[in-house]
Amino acid sequence: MDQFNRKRPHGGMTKNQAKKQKFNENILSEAPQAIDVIEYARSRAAELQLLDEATKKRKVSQAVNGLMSISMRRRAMSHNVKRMPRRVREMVTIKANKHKKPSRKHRRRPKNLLQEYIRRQKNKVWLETHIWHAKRFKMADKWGYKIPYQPTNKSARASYRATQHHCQMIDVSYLCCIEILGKEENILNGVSSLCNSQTGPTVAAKMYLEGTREGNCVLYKQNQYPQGPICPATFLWRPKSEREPLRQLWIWCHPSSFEELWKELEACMSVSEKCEVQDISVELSCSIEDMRKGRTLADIANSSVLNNNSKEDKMSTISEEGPKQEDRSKVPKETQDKTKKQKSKKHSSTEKASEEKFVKVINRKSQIGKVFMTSLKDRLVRHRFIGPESQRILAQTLGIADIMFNNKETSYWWKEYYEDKKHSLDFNQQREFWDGVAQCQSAAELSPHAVIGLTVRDPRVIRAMKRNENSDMASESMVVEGIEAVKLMVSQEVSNSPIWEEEIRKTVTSTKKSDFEINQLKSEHLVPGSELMLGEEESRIPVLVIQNPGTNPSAHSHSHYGNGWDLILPAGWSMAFWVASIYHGARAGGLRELQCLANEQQIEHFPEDYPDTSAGREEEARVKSEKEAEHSKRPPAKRPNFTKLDVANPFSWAWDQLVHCDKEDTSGFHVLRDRKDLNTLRKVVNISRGQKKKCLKSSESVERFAPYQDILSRHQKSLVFVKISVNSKGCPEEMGTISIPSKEDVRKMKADKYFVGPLRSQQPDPELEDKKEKKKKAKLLKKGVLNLQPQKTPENREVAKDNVDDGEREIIGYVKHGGFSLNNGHGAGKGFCSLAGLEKLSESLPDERNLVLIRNPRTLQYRFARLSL
Amino acid sequence: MSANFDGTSKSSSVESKEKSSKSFKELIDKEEYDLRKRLPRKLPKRKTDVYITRKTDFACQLERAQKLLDSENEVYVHGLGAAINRAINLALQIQTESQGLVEIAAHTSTVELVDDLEPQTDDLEPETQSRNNSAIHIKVYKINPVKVELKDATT
Repeated sequence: MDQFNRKRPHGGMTKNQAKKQKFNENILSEAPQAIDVIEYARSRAAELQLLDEATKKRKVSQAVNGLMSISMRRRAMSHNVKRMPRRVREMVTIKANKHKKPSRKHRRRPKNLLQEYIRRQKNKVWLETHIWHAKRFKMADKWGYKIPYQPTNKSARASYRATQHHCQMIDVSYLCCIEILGKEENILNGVSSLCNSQTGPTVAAKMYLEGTREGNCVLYKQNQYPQGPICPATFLWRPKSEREPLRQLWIWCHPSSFEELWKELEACMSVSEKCEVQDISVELSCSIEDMRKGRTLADIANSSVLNNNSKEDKMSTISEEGPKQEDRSKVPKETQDKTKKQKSKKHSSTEKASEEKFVKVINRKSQIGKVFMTSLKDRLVRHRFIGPESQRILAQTLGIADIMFNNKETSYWWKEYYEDKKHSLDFNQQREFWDGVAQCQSAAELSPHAVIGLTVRDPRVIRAMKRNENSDMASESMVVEGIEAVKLMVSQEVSNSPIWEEEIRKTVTSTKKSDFEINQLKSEHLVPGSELMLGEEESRIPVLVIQNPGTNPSAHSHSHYGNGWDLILPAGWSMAFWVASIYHGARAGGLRELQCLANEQQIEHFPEDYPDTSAGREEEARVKSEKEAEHSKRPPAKRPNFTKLDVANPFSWAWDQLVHCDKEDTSGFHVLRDRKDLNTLRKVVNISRGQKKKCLKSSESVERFAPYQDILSRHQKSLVFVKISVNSKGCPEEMGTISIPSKEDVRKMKADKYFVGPLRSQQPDPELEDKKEKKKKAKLLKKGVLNLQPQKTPENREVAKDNVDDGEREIIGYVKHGGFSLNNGHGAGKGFCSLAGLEKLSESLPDERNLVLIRNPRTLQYRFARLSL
Repeated sequence: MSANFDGTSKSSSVESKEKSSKSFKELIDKEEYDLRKRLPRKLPKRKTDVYITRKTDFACQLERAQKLLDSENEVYVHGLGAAINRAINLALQIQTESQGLVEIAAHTSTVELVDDLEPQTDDLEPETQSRNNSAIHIKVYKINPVKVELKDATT
């Protein structure tokens, strides 16, 4: 009170006030006349500091936001940890010595950035185009690689359009290549035990041996056909040459089955050669300093081997062919020693860098008798071009190099290589052939799987033209010339390429001018934007171009969908060619686009559609756990009740149950890949509308079922890959069931045009009903009403069952993948049926042998669909 | 140029000529070879070209040609083999719908097609087989009455 009065301005005074004033004056006289500010503050410094600290310092980290729902927040949570729920308390408390993340500016310094990149590559491999992709793609961590999955700015439909009308480019460098070097018969003896001629032409096929075609086949475990498939592989022989008695074979496989295939190859080789496997892998260590120069692991491996080898290899080339083989076996061992020495030298010379700074690279090699196996994993780059435009883009990106030279003063690999008359003649043929090819409008105009070897210019030097209409319109007179060349088959000379030589590949990689150098040269160039003329200094890159014919035209599908080219490059050149193709108008895609393409084409895609391989099983297990997690995340009312829907396996494909329904033995199933058997099945199952009438006229049922018995006897537990197309609306979905329609269903379908399919009756879920009843009881008890209800429910159920016709429709297969097919304009999918099931299908409906019912796991509705093989 | 493609390539083409198409059919029936048709050679596509296919809806193709003709003076309709009927049908429909403002001029040609025979067993060589198929190229163009009148006035 007093204090208030003191502040009040003086006005007229009452008696009371006057009294009070007197009193106040007394107090005031007692008060100190001035305050010593410094002393005042000093005495309260401790308090102030406490206050300051309390406001500045957080006791609880800001990470709270993500950890808890908004409804769980409480006042002043950030100051008192105990207001947090106990489970998050530990995560949220700020520890005293927590390492602070350095600033972005610091992190983005080239030196630090590279170190970070190297750290991130420690347990997985990056593609050479990784950084380009990581900026624009969702990356998937798969099979030991970081693989671009899907572009963030493009939908699946846009990608489909790119494959249909333009050019889709996909980096598939993660595919692994195994090189086998040896005499032809030695290689064939070994490899032929892995493949079976019943599945189609094998590695030993005449048409592939020349090396002008890339072949593909499914590889099996040694002599286990039809059980134990490993993976589908594409393979390519090096064209024969008179000088080299040894032949080279490249087998390309998927990284998920690389290890398995490698071991199997070693085993089969050692059996055929009657020799132990000798592991002659070279282990290398590279300092991080080397990696800072912006090179990938593979480059370093290549170049460092090169440095060691170069002297010795020159020696070995001087020595004659006979002892060469022995030399080869010796070389790696020596290099191993040398690398060790070098490593120690490096240690002593440089300030004894800690061993952590060294990255291990393994140059995998093994020798079995006279056959050498080398892993070219990550040593070759493979780009896939899909679509009609790919032709134009490749023709523009790959400028044929000039290999003529006058003086031999400076040494380049191409001078050494093309000094040979034969090689330069080959080169001329290749150039003429490629000129012819470049005039084609589509890759599908050429012979399928043709291999063309080329030596091309540095793509960074050639500038992409701006696309306008004039450049699109090529003059018609030009076109006519090249026709003859293209129509013929590719000869061995055209397919040969220096890329097969390891030394040349390494030189090309190590002598690559860095982007910085090229840009420097460009900036010094007088006329900006014009082509750089580097003359002999320009790199010449050997490449292989492999045609991909796309789908085989048939009555149903659009023909040649998915045709294009594969481009194989030596390591280190991926980025240069990739960016150049992008400039020329290619659209980048990822793994999803590859899967989509396979789905549109309705062909198998590894590893998803190979359920009998170990990689396929792994993939299925992954899908299962993913789907289960997704399902269990939702509350019961917000997720489908699979008991009611009567779906036994909503998250996985029960192939085992399909194959042996009643029998007790549980040996594995396999997918039928026998070409002849599939052809006979095709004749039975694939009936188009025109053929149907013919079939009806000559309905020889005996003849029709004979093949089934025959095939069944040989492949008892086999699945058959089927293509599904839905008749009316609706799309098949993953894990959908394929079942045999009853006669009643078919009758209804024929009678009613709009009949899509029967409806399955809902199945009772005893668990749920028990729960409901318990709830009811609890409620009644609460109310005080005694439970005197008669049990009517079972009777009710029976009545309900009688109303809906619900013949169990036998399941003969499952849908592996399904959806709306943009190519066909209706729902389509692919799946597997058991062979026995197919037989039953054609027995029960002899007229409609490919008519099935499909039910997705989330519905009760069956839909009619047609199968084809 | 073709001299460079001697050797394996030419000999195979000679062989393929020796074997008549009938024998190939037998081989295919015996499941020794698989037939794969190559795409017919195309000329560079101009804006005014319409290639007719049997796999696309007819109405859709008709609309496309009609739309092109609205903006351009002429449209070339190409049909190959079994699509010839369709091409003719399409051109005629455009003409009838235009009420005499559009004329058509057709000419025919022969297109050489190449089939690949892919062996199904190890010991066979791949073959190619070339055959001829007929094609039609119909020029559908506007007769511009305005221009004709002007020309008449000048003469």
